[in-house]
Amino acid sequence: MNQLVTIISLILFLICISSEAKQVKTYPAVYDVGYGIACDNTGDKNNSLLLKILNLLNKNVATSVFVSGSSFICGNRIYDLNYFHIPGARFKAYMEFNNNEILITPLVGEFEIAGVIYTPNECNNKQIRLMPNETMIINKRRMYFYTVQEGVKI
Amino acid sequence: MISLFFFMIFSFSLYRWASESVAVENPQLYLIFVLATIICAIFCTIFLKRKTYSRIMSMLALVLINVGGAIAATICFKEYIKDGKLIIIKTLPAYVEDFGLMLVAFLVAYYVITKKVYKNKYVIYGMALLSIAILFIATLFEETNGAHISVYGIMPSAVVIMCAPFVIGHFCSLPEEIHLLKNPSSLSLNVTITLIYALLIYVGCYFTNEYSLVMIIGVVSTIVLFIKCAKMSTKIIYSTTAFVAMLVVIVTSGHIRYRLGIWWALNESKLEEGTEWFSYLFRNIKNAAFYGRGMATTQVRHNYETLNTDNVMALIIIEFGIIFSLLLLITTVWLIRTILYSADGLYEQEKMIVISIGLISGVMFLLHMASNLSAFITTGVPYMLVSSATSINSALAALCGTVCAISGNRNREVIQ
Repeated sequence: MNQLVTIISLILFLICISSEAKQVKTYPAVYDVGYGIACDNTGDKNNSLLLKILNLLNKNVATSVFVSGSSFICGNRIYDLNYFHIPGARFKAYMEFNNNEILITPLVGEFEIAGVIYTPNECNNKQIRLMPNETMIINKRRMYFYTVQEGVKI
Repeated sequence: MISLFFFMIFSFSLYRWASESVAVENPQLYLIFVLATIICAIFCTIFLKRKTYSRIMSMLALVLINVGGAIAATICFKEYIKDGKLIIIKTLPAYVEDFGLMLVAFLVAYYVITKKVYKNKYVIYGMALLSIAILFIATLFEETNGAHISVYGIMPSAVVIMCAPFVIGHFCSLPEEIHLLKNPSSLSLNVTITLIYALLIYVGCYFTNEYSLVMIIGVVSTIVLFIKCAKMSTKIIYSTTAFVAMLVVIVTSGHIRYRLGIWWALNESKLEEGTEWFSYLFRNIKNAAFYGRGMATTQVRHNYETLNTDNVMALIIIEFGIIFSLLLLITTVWLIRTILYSADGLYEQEKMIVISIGLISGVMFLLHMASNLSAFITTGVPYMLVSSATSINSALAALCGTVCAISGNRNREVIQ
């Protein structure tokens, strides 16, 4: 009897744990830039544009800063600012961050800005300008970019 | 929460099952132990609420610890005389002490890792030197078999197992641009240092007869080097070097050659070392049936001292039955899988640390199963958290704490 109770409760425990494991979300292709710790190409802690943005978006994020060159950290994942690749979305682009705009050169895949679809062939290595508060849609998912000048809220 | 409820039912029914056995000497202590594991599970549910992988890992580990406690409480041979020496098997009080040490190791590791100590390269150099130094210091002590060597009560293998993920994680996350030679495609410094580290550990293990550690570090470094090398040619060269060096160390030792003989002809070999267990297991497995023969029913003529350490899986199959053993195997595999899955989405260094931890526990588990089923030539390896092995269990608990501290919050809100 005791054996049966032990075995059945262990089976039920494993089933419950498996249902909890299914709730674990993988990172979606929508990156709320307002969550995380950031730095930009300059590697300057104090004058980082992205850091300012993140500070504006979420007061809690800038508890510590990693200055690792051209990358920023969103949640737990590290993103290279220059080569932007979204897992699962088949999109890869070269990005440059200016003061209040983002210049994008798509390499693989396509994306949409203000209703216009861009592909690597159409762009032909030209850069596309993403202005403040504009939305870029990749694989039916939206990416938001905010700048300091805009009073943003999520 | 529901899983916590079922965990409680599991613990109490295991307690009931074990306490009906004739061999339990100290039911009060065992009850306190079970209650302590339940309290730990409640704390895990509360404090790791937002870290789903870590919570699952801790709960699965607590299931294993519960089974370990049940085994420790119902060992029927507490002490006996062999070759004129009194040998005492570690029983429930020892396992409860181990559990306390595991908790301390878990909490200390969690605290230390949240301070990001592993980012300091001097700490990593210290760990690498410590793990190599302690193996060589162990050679100065009396000449015994691997697992019985201890330096002031600390097993060298536990220190190496605890330090290895951090060292591998650090050196494998260095930038790839550093090369030993001018040719950028050939040798990069970080993977070379990882290889040298592994080879030095092999040499240390050779002197101390720690062959299980050779296999663990060998397989882990082979896989890690295969993952980390940039080009296919370097992948093959590095991982093959690590693997062949491991094989050379293993095969040149007489210990393993002897076991190879056992493996070759199980029936003809002399009944020494592990063979008695294998034949015993296969003789008795039909009696074990689905629900087992009941706790504290195992009786063997030889190898008492590995009853609850190296051969604990055979004991579980006979005493707890085949269904329970399969469930325990599923639990362990799930635990390892959870550790490996929590590496997803981390930075390079953290990712390599977590992957190494998952690989180490996985290889230990595989070696334990292999040695119990005589499927592969191995030395005795403890079953993680179930066996009574103070140092290794504490090291693994510290590594679990590391995984909990490193792996991030998975259920954060997503803005869409």
